[in-house]
Amino acid sequence: METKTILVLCGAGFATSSVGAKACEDVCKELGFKANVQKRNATAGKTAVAQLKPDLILLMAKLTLDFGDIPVVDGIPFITGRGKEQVKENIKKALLKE
Amino acid sequence: MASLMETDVNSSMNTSSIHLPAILGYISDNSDKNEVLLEMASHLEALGKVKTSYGGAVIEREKSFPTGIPVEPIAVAIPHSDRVHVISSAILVAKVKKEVFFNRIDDPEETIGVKVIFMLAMADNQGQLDTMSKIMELIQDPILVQKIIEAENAKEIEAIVVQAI
Repeated sequence: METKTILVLCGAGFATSSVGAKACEDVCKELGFKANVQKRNATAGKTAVAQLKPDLILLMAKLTLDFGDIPVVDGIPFITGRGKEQVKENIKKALLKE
Repeated sequence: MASLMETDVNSSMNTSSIHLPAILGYISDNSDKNEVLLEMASHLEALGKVKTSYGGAVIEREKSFPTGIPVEPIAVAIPHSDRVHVISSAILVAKVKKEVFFNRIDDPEETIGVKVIFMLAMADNQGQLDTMSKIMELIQDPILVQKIIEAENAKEIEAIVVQAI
């Protein structure tokens, strides 16, 4: 089973990234991938990207960092509830593209 | 303390319950965001859930990463901070009598008046997935949020949230 590494970034405290991480695990299961979901605070984002080389970055806070070629999905709808399904679609698309 | 906790864990057959945070209710008359946050943090501190540094850390976090959430019809906020300030996981659910203005999580330049505040004090970062997902479902449930607003005291809020989780 292919492993997908997903980096979930939040502001601080891991509350919102927990929600994003759960959703990523669900999507990976649905697509038949093994999920390696890592949660980090925004301040640790750059380092984590360099170390993990994730297939996807899910943002749970408004961050304006440059992540190069790695696909980035806005996960805030998981918190607001508006557009949740669209985020899952975006995650799927990003994971299947590779 | 450590041995007590171990006994608790060993006696619990349901492993998922180990990570469950304490659910607590609160009602505040305050309408200033920072004052409400400090008041709630002090309440958690008095219960031994967080360190003195927690309130200030939550306020700082709100400045760079605000947590006002535009759920309809009643907006809520989920202020929280890094786990280093937390002693034991707890979720303090507060009804505020007057709207408190938080900056929005999805649009930090904008503010939104919230009526219910879920202060999330989480002691560890890798567990909590299910709990946090559940909390997000709760804040997105207008009927539950309305029930919290209609609650008359802290105990009632606790009961409403515990039942929903």
